[in-house]
Amino acid sequence: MMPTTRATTRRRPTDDAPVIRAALLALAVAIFALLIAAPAAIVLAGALHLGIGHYAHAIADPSTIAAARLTLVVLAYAIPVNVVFGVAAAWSIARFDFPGRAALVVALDLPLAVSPVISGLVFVLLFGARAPLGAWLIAHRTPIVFATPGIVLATVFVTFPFVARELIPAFASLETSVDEAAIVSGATGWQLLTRITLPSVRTAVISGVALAAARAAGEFGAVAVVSGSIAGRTNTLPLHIASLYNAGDSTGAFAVASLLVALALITLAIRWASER
Amino acid sequence: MTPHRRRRRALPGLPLTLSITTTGALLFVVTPLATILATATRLSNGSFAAVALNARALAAYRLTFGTALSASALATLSGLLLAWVITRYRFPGRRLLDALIDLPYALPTAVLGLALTAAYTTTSLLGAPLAALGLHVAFTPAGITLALTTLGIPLVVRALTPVLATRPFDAEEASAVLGATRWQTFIRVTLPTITPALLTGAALTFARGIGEYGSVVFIAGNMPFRTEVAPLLIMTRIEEFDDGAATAIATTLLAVSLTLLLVIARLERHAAIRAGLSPRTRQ
Amino acid sequence: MTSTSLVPRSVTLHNVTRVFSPTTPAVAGVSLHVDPGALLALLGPSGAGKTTLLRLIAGLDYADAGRIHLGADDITDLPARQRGLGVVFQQYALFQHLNVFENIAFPLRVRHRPRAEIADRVDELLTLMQLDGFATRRIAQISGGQAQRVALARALAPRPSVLLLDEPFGALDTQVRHELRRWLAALHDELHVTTILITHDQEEAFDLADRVAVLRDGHLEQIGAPADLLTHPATPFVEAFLARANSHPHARRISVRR
Repeated sequence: MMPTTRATTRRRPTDDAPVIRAALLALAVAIFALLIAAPAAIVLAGALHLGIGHYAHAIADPSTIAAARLTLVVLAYAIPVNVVFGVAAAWSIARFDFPGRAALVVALDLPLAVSPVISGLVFVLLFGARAPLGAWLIAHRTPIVFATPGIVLATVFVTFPFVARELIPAFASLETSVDEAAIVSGATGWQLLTRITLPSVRTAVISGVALAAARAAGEFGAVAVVSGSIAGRTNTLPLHIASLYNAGDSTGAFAVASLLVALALITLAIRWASER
Repeated sequence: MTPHRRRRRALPGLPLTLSITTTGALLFVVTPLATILATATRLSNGSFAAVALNARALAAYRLTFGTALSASALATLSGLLLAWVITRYRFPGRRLLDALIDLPYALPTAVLGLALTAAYTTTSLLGAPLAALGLHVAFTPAGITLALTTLGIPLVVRALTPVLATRPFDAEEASAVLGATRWQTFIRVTLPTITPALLTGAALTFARGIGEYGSVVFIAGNMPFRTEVAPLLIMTRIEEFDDGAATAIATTLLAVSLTLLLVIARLERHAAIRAGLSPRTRQ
Repeated sequence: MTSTSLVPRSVTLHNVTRVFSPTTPAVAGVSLHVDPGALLALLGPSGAGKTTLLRLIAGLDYADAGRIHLGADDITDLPARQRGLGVVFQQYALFQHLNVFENIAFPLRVRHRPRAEIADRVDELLTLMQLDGFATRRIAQISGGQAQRVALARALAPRPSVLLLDEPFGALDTQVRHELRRWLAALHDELHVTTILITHDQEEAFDLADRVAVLRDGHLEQIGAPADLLTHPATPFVEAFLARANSHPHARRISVRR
C-alpha cells in the first residue's frame, strides 16, 4: 500500500494546491513580462541600438538639455505646491468633520477623471490668445500659453491631488489620542504636525512626493496642448521624446526615454527603501 | 455665561488648512469645470450637436468607453492575479516584482506608449509572433486596450494588496475548518471581502482610461472611426484651432464620465457596507 | 532627590455641562472641588460621563455651560496646550517613532527648554519611574507596565499643577495593575500633585483616593471620603454600586486610605 504524499496532507488550509500555485505564478510572471518588463527592456535596447556613441550624442544634444532643464523647473514649482496642498488637505479632511467635507473629497477625486487634454484645453480657453484674459496677458508680455508659466501651471493642475490622496488615509490611520497627548503636552498645531504627525507617516509622505514628482515630470497630454511644442523653448522631456519619434528618430527618442525610465526606477527604489 | 457657545475644536489648524484646501479645490477643480461649461454653453444647441454628436465623435465615444471598459475588466483580473501571487506566495524575486509592478504608474505616459508601440508592432519581438497568428495589436483598438490595461494593473494591485494581505485570513481558516474546498472558500469568503477593493481598482482604471492620451496616442495611430479615442479627437480639434468643437466634445466626455463615476462610487459604498466594512468617521 | 518646584493647584467645576445628543447630556451640571495635592477618584459605570468630564478639564473638549477653575484662574475657554496639566491616557498614546527619552522630553522640547535642563529633568523622571537605562529603548520594545510609566513621566515632565489619569491601568493585567497601584500611591505621597483619577475599579478608587466622586448618567451622585460613601451612601444607586464590589466573592475587603 502506497503511503500518501506527506507534502499535500500537511498543507495549511489557507494555502493553494501546489499545481495551482505554479500555474498562477507562471501566469502572473507572464503578464508582468509581457506588459511591464518587455516594453521597458525594449526601450533600453532600442536606445542602444546604434551604439553608445549615438546614445551619448542624443542625451547631450542641446535640445535635450533644454528639455531637461524645463522639466526640472516644472518640478521645482509643482512639488512644493503639491506638498503644501496635500498636507493641508489631509489635515483638514482626515481629522475634522465640517460641512462640505464630502464635497471636498469628491473634488479631490475629480482630476483623475478629467483627461489631461481637457485640462490643457481649459488653459487655452482661459489664457489663450482668443480669450480676454489671455489677450491681456500677451499684450503685457507675460504670456501663459506657449510659455513656461503655462507649462508649470498645467502640470500643477494635473498633479495637485496626488500627495493629498496618499496622505489622507495615512493621517486618518493615526490615533486621535496621540494628537491629544501632544496637545496637552503643550504642542502648537505646527509642532504637532512637524514633530509627531509627519514623522509618523514618513512612508506616505515620501511615497506621495516621489509619485507626484514622477507624474509631474512625465506629464504629457496637458503640456502638449499648452506648450505648442517649440523645440528648445517649450519642450519638456516627454514632449521632446514625442517630437523625436514623430520626426523619425526613434533611436534618439528611446535614448531620451531611457532617462525617464531610469528616473521612474529610481522613484520606485526610493519608495521601496522607505517602506523597509 | 452664554447658553449656546460656538463649538470650538481642541485640535488646532482647521481654519488655515481648510482655507488652503478649499482655495486649491476652487482653483484647480471648480474653475476648470466652470470654464468648460461656460464655453460650451455659448454654442447653440444645433452647433453643439453638430460638433459633439456627429458620427465621428460618436465613434470616438464608443471606442473610448469600450476600450476603457475592457481594460478595466482585464486589469482587474490581472491585478487580482498579481496581487494574489505577491501577497500569498513566497518566491525568489517577490519583493522585486512587488516594487516593479508600479512601473507603468511611475513612467511618463508617453514613454509607456512608445514602449508598448515598439514592443508590439508587427515587426517586433512580441508583435511578430502575434501577427503570424493574425492578431494585430499596434494601430488597432486592441492596442489601446493593451495600453490602458497596463496602466490599470498598478492601480488594481495597489488597491488590493492591503486587503489581501490582512483581512480574509481568519474567515478563510474558519471556512476551511467548516469543510469548504479552496475554490469554495475563494468564491464565498475571499471574493466578497475583496470586492470593494476590486471595484475601486476597476473604477480607477476606467476613470484613467477614459481620459488617457499619452500612452494611447502612439499605439493607436489615430485613424478616425477606427482607433480615434475621444481625447485624441479633442486634441485634433485643438490643433485645428476649433476650440468650440473641442470644448463641446470635452463637455460630453466629462458629463458621461462624471456620471459613471458617481454611479461607481455609489456601488463601491454598497459593496463596502455589505462586506462588513463601516465607513471611518472622525471627531 | 526630586525637585518639587511644582505647585499643586485646586480644581473646581461649577455646573459643568456637555451635551452630545439632544436627549442625553454626557455631563449634566456637575460641580465639584479638589483640594491642592489631593487625589480624587471618579467612579461610575461606563457611559456615566467620567471620561467626558476629564476631557473637559484637560481642554480636549469644551463645555456647553459652566465654568472650570484651576486654582484662582478660570480656564474654561483656555486652549489645552496652555492649561499646564498632565494627562495619562488609557492606551498610553506614546509617540511610537520616538524613543523613551524623547517621549518624556517632548513637553519640554515644545516649550523650547535648554538642552541641559531637558536632559536633567528626563533623567530625574526615569529614576523616579524606575526606568533607569530605558532612555534609548523604542516604544515597541517595552512592556505595557513600562509604557504606562513612560506616559506618566511624560505627563509629569513639565511639572504640571494637576494630573489627570484616564483608567491608567485598564489595559494591564491584574498583577501589573496591583503593582502600579501601590507605586502610584507612593508617587502621589511623594509629589503631592493634585490628581484626578478615572477608574471603574472600586477597590482601586478606595485604595488610592482622598475623596471619591460617583457619577451616573452625567450627574454627580455623591462626593466624599471613601469611608463616608460606604457608611453614608447618599442615594440607593451609590449604595448598590459600592455594594456590588464588596459582595463579589473574590473581592478583598476594600481598604481605605487615611
